[in-house]
Amino acid sequence: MKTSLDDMVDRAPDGELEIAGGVFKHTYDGNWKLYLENLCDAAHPWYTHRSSIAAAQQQKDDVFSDGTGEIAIRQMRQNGAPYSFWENQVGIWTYANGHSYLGDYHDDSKLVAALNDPTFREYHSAMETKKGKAETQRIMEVRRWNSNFYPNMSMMSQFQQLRVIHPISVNKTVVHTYCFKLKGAPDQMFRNTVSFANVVNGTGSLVLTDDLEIYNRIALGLSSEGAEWLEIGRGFTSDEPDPHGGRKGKNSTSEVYIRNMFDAWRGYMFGDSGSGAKKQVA
Amino acid sequence: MLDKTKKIPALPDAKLDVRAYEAFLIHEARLLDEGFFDDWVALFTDDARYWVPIEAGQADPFETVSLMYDDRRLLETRVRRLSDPRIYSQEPRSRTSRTVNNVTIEPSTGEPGVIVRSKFVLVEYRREDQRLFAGTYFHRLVGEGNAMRIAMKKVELVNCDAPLDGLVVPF
Repeated sequence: MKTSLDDMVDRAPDGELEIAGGVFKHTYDGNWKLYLENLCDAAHPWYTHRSSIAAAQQQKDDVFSDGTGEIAIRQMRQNGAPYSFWENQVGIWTYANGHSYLGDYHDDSKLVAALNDPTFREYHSAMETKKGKAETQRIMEVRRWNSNFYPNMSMMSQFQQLRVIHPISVNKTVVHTYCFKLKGAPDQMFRNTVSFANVVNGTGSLVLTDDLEIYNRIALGLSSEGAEWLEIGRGFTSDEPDPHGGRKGKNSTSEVYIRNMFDAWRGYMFGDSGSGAKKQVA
Repeated sequence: MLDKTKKIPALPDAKLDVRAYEAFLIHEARLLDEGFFDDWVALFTDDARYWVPIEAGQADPFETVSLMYDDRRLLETRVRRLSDPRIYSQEPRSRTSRTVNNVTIEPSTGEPGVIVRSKFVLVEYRREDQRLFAGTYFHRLVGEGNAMRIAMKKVELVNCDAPLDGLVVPF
């Protein structure tokens, strides 16, 4: 997990981050754990975000944009990658104490560092000037989507986003989300970060609103007495050890990271280190 | 704390007929309440923007995040999504009721068109829960042929920085 934290800072040409751009505060009537369960879930975008994927796919690109819509629509279209892609090409890794991260799935030149975009070209050369060619290349090759720091934080190092989860009660959660400015990066980079935050973390986002809806619905379902147990078994028989000491899913859609969080939760509740944590090193 | 440096608002321009603008705003509110979202987008100009700031007095939508900030392209996508049968956050649909009043015409900013300021109250009912929103609309309205079009719509919510559940229906 240290690599995710390092990645957040490594991406700043001057080696410093500045918290900037305001705070989203969203809330839902559900348990705090649901939020973290969603963030490393590669299975849901294809289904939960269907409406925004379809709307973005049908959008004409010659309609006026000041850059905001372009970033947002590209992100929504990326969510529409085929299910086989989500299953096989993203990657899910888990570590002791409930932490986990999901690999990145972006290949869009506006969203990830690609040299044919003028802003990224400027950024890339600022990075090379400050950090050298080899180190810049190493940093650009670290590709993370969400990194979850159990039990209350999640970040996107590649896109300069951080969320802090505040449990209010068993069925009420408030999440605060923050953006970071990369010191030494072109000004346009931060504008793109803001547009990106609006679409992935925004209270009025075309994407996040369907996630919030699902959290509310799950809480509603859990309040019934119809089911005593939740099944969190996807990938259970195929999870495998990771060379860095954790466990990873054979498929990226494995719920290994949820089982891993419950192991840690069990550890906090019983005062031991959790059954899973004992088997895992760092 | 009260901001003592704020300037007193100018009196409305009596030479412009506010009723024509008020009629337009009432029509717009009705389109939204009754779910005519495509017709609502058609009221906007080709280079329009729609903005719901997240901070009181927010200077711009570029350096700070926004509850909603759409250029024309994203606004079209936002509205297209509203008619997708798989928009789970609108299943069931919200019912809304808007009141627009206190309509005044603001001093020109030098940009084309007329800045119309109004107050609104919006009640949203969905799945046994009723939410109340209130605030100030700023419309920059321009003439296109015989029609009035929205070049910019800014929505200042009184609770813009509160923790909020998802905002799906446009304000």
